[in-house]
Amino acid sequence: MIDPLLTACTISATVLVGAADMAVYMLNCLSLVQNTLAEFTFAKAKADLLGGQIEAHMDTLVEEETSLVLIRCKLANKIKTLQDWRSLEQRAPLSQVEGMDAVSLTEAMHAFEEALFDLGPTVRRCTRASESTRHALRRESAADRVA
Amino acid sequence: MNQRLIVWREMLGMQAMPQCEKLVSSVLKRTARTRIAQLIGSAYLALYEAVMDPKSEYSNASLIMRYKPEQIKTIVDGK
Repeated sequence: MIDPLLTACTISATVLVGAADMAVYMLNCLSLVQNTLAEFTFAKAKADLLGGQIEAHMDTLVEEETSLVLIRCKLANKIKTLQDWRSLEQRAPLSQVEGMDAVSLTEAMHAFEEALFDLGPTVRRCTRASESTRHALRRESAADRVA
Repeated sequence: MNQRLIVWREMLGMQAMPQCEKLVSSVLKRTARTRIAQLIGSAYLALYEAVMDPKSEYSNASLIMRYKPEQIKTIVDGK
């Protein structure tokens, strides 16, 4: 009964460009159907079956999103170089591999640390948001007193 | 540090993982974030071990990798 619905979801997902977008779309569709079925004992087998599909789409999402985060943190290239280097049978010391010299690596690690720790703009946004909330509360409180 | 951890967790959810934010199910959202954080931690650990290995011949390894994997794991996991 629900197979046509799942087919419709799969077909409509094909208009999405990115693998992560498709995975999120299918995860949202499948989890909604699974949650609905899970309420009924007779549909448990089908709900379990959907669990496998959810896992597969979750794997895609995790892989894609992790790549994106590592690219933003400037670590993706270094990790790729490390993996390539490890796969070699005879290898020079890592510090002699192109792009993995101490200077390049230090720069990359600083960029990574900045992504982790240099959260100035985000902190300021949060601070501004909490200040706005405090001002709004003060205004409400003053209005209550006048009333 | 605690403030930074809180903000990082928020940023990790809202900005660094924009696709995860589109998940409707909070359970799936949490699962995705946790697994991504684990992968980032593992990637850092691999790099850390390789750089700190004397065979890699970095004369200033501890200056390159200033944070221990456990510290990075704490930040990305938010634990």
